[in-house]
Amino acid sequence: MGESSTGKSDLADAHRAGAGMVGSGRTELARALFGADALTGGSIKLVGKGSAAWGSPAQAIDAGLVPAPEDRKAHGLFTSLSVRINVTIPILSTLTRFGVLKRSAEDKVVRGAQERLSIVMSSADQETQFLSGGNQQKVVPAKWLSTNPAVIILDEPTRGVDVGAKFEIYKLMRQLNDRGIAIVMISSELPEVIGMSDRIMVMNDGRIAGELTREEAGEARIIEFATMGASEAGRP
Amino acid sequence: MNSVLGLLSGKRKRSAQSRAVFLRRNGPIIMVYVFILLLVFIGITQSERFFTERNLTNVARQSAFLGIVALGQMLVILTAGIDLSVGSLVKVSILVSAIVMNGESANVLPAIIATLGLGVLVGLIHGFLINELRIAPFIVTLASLVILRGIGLTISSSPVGKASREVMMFYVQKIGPIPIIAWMFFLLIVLTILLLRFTVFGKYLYAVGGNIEVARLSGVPVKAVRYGVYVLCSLTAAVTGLLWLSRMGVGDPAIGDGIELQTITAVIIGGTSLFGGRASVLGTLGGVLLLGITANLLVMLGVNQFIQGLIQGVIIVAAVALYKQEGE
Repeated sequence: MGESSTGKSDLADAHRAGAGMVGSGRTELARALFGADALTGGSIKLVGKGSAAWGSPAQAIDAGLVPAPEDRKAHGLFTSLSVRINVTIPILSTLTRFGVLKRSAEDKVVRGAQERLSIVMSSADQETQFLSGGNQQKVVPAKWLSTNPAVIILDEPTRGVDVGAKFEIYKLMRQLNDRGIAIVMISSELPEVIGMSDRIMVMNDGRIAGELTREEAGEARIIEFATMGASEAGRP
Repeated sequence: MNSVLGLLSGKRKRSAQSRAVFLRRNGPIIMVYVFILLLVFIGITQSERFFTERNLTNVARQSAFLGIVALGQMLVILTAGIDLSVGSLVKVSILVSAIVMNGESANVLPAIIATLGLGVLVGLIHGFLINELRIAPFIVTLASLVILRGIGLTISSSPVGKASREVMMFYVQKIGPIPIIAWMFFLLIVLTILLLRFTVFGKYLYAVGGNIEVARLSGVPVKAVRYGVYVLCSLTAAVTGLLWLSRMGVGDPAIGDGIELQTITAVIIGGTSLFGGRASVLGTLGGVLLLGITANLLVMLGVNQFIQGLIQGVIIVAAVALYKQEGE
């Protein structure tokens, strides 16, 4: 898992989506890309950074690769902590002078994030669990945008959100893309995969079963790749 | 359309929420201090000896002894960990420092270095077992409690070693009307507040306690943070062992038992969540003072020792019940 095919081409200006069914290895691939789990083989290359082999999320963040995990409560947010710490945590060490945190620098980062994503909150010290669901959802990208990333990995960004919030997220993805940030979106919703992606990689049984361009993509072809070999392998 | 509804109802709900948050965070701590004032009032009216300089000086010293370790314990609990070994480490620390010092002024520095080194070593071992072998902090430090107590009693089951003259003088020295040991505690309180508020390490403690997986994915060096916090906590125990030597003058192996439970009690009374991610230095100070003054008052009023334990137990349950109410 984590084959070189995941990073060899130019990612910039590309929306790329990993489709495939739940359990096909999509999330595992994303976690390996981000350094959350160890690679079992292959390597990761990020354009402009040469070959990178990071063993921890901290190193991945330094290289400009950040994740927005599927389950925001379990992997994306400190729900019991303030918006301030949630947004600044990946770049805290850059907000210091002589080892002391600069409150003004923190405030600037939080204010910037709040304006860019129009997060509604009573103050930067509000606990994220008291924000509305939509606003909580925005804190995750706010946190990663503060790191000035090159690539964002979005794992099921629209799962469990209402139609209005979905539209907001799509809009945000377009904005990020316009700013030159590449997005790797993982999704099992075919309409959004086809509608949002420049390139689509379909995963199946821990491997990339097929790669489609936007022009080639269609629900039928994606499903074909996603289920290929399922019957003869006789898997459950 | 959703957001319009949200805006309409949001304003009122938010102010109620922030008040609820303020109360949840500070209400019980305010009550702890109100309760302390009540105890002081009882002390003044019911005992002639309570409100004397001599007694208050004693309370201040005893609170410092408990409080310094409680600060270390609080930092560990903030990361959703726990350190049950602090009492046994105080015991081993007083023995080691007394033996190395052996009554000689020239040996004071080596004794301090040996004792603090012991603290660092114990903290590193805790960090290693928790980080690398992934054993729960409760289990690691419980084992450490038993092992260190065993080491202590193996070193000696009767008082050994001796403090030097200066070290014994340290216990009674004062700056103004306040014992120097209480000043030390005060300084550590200020340092802990600054650590939590203005340093990256402090914020990382909240992050690890808030959600360790999110912290890791956010680039927090989770292992280093846990090594650091267990070393800090063990250091507070080692320092307290040295302070006990200055008080006792000899390496008394009876010292240290039960400190782990007292510190955990003080930290919980002070509003720090056992689940991590939330801590209050002033709350911990309140918890320490509440325990210290209660114990002192019960002695002053001539209450039976066993009933003292009962009363402390009631305080813990009452405090936890209070926080649960406020939290909902």
